[in-house]
Amino acid sequence: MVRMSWKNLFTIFIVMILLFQMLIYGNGTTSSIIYFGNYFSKPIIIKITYFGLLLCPFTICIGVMEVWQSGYYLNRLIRAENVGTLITKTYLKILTQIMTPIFILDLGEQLIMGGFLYLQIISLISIYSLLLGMFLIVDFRFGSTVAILMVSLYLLVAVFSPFEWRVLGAFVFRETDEMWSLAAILIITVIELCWLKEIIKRKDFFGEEYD
Amino acid sequence: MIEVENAVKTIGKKNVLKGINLKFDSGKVYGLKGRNGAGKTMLLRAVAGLIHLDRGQVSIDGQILHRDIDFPKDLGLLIESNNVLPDFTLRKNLQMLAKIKKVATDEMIDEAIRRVGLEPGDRRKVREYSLGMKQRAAIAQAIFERPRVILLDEPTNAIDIEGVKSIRELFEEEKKRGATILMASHNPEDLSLLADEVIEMSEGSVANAE
Repeated sequence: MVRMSWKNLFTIFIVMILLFQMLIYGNGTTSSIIYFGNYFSKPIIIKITYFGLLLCPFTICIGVMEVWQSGYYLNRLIRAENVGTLITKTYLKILTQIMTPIFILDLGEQLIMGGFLYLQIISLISIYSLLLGMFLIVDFRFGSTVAILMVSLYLLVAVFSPFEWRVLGAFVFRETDEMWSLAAILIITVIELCWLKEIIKRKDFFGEEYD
Repeated sequence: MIEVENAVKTIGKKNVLKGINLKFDSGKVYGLKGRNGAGKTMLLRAVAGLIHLDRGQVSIDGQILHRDIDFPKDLGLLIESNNVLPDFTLRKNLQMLAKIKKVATDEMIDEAIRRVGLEPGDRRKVREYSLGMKQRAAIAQAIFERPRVILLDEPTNAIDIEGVKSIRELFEEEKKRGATILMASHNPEDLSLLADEVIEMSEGSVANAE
């Protein structure tokens, strides 16, 4: 139900490269892991750059749910045998769009550093899966603006939280080998998708105009 | 058969449907007429399962919408603008839609495109179509799977006089095939030539049925 916007994706990727570079220079070294670095003691400008890097891929989601009111998407919806499958496919497609620039940057960094940290990848997928589910639920109920504000608030907490919060694992953007946090995120994400399915089943589709 | 029983829907403070009771038999064309805001499109949306009624119910062949089924199982819909994606050809659009239910073959898609007066081999994207061609494309999208129920909102909008004639013939053929067609229109000629029964709506109620 969602089309890949290559232009948007490319623009977001360029912005993310710039923010990534700024963080590398801000840290003064390439020895720390950008996505899971300790920014608590860093100047506020570094924290905000990190916040921007984390939030940037979410801008691709803005407005994706509004298109469900257009004729084409309504026509897809009424043809769907199983709304759950439709939701899952949509969710996975948006998640792929979000994760594409993150994967490229993260894998690039790992290659430069000479290692493959699979737990870092799993942590990133987990947290973005969780946040995307939250985003879509809020977007459907209250619109894109509220959804992006909510995600921003979550990320601000993650960015400005002390490093000691690492006990929360991937919940606050910490690379984690604590399986409980990854399992918890997975369960919450599944609950989010079920909730999203119920929202869509109960939603009124008035379309772009009504008579 | 489609049965609308005591359909009530309120949006904000406005009652857009006020206790509508209607029955639509298979193989017939029903015309809906009335002023803007009379509730024609909202009734079509209720039948399509796109809105949830505050009271009452819609049943299709005995299956109640939103209780037994989420959406009518065999439905063609032209209810909005932008029925097809502008960045693809019409054929590609229909092929993408066909993947959902997997009932329409490429031959059925090509036939539907020809029936609305367009060319299946046209390589232009829909955004390059004229307004009338976009409307024909939307009609093709509504009929290509040969659905049993077809809901049409102003189907002949923007189509030239010759085109309107062929589109009317197309709807006649769909009716003969056994499809139930509900058509909201401001065009009296469409209604008088096509509809077996014309239902006049006013302020969310049925004012008259002829």
